[in-house]
Amino acid sequence: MDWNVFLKELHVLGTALGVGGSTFAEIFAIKFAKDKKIDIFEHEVLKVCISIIRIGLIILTFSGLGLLVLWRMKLLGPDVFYSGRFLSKMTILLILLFIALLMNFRLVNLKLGSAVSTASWYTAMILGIWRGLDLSYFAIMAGFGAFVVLVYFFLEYARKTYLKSK
Amino acid sequence: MNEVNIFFLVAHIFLGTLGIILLTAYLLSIFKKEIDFKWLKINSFLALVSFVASWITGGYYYTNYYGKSVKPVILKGEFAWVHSILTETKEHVFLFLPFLTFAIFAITFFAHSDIGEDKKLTLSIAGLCFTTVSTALAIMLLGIAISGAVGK
Repeated sequence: MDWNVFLKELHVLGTALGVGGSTFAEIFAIKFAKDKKIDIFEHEVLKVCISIIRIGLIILTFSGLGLLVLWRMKLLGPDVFYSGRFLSKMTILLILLFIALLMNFRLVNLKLGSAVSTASWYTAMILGIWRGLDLSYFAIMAGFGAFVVLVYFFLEYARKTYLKSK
Repeated sequence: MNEVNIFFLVAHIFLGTLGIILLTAYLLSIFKKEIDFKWLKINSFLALVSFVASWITGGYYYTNYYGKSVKPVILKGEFAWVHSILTETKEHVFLFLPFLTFAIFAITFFAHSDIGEDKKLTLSIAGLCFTTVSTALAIMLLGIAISGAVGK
């Protein structure tokens, strides 16, 4: 197995852990909010989900940087490094990191923070898969902004629907 | 690029990123209810070692490869501003990182009993840590942008 395949597989693994972890964190957070209190077991389950997201982010970062070194050696240059898709992925990775810090220190509304985090993970995955996407940076980021709003309202709807269900 | 230069480039990136991860973990740890000071000391020491080693490996790569083979190519191309603005910024701001991390390391070693107890000190060290992480992230992004300026 060459480095390119190995790093791509790691990159997919990191994304899968991040997307999976953030999805299950949302599902459990909604489920555990039913009685409006988080007990020790529920707290531990959410901690596991957060740890998985962090591990995913670390794997994603290191494998991504490894791929960048390979691209640099192949001299892929501005066509790849300054493309809207690549710059958007970098921006979304930064948003993921800063929103995680803001949420940890309760400096942002948790519902908004979790919507941004979940939307960021899904957008990073979509951008990774959609290789032929040829849009400008601003168009992709505007799409991301709209997606965050959509995810926020979807999660709000899921919370309300679940609370009413029993 | 020969294998030695590839090794130093990869080591430079890996160690710098490791420093960022360690300091982010440090930042998250100092606000815990029960702070593990042993972990904080190890963490700040490893972050310092990572940034110093990234400094040295980056310096080797710069003097042995970038300056001779990459810089002239960038300066001749349409992205000459990438070197004159981004690389110049990177190589000067980068100098702060080991010193900022050394300050965190020194505070952790000599005033660790006050971290968590003294709210002012805790917030100050959190601010220093956040500044260092943000600066290191900005430097990493500059490095990526500089790598992108070299095409076929």
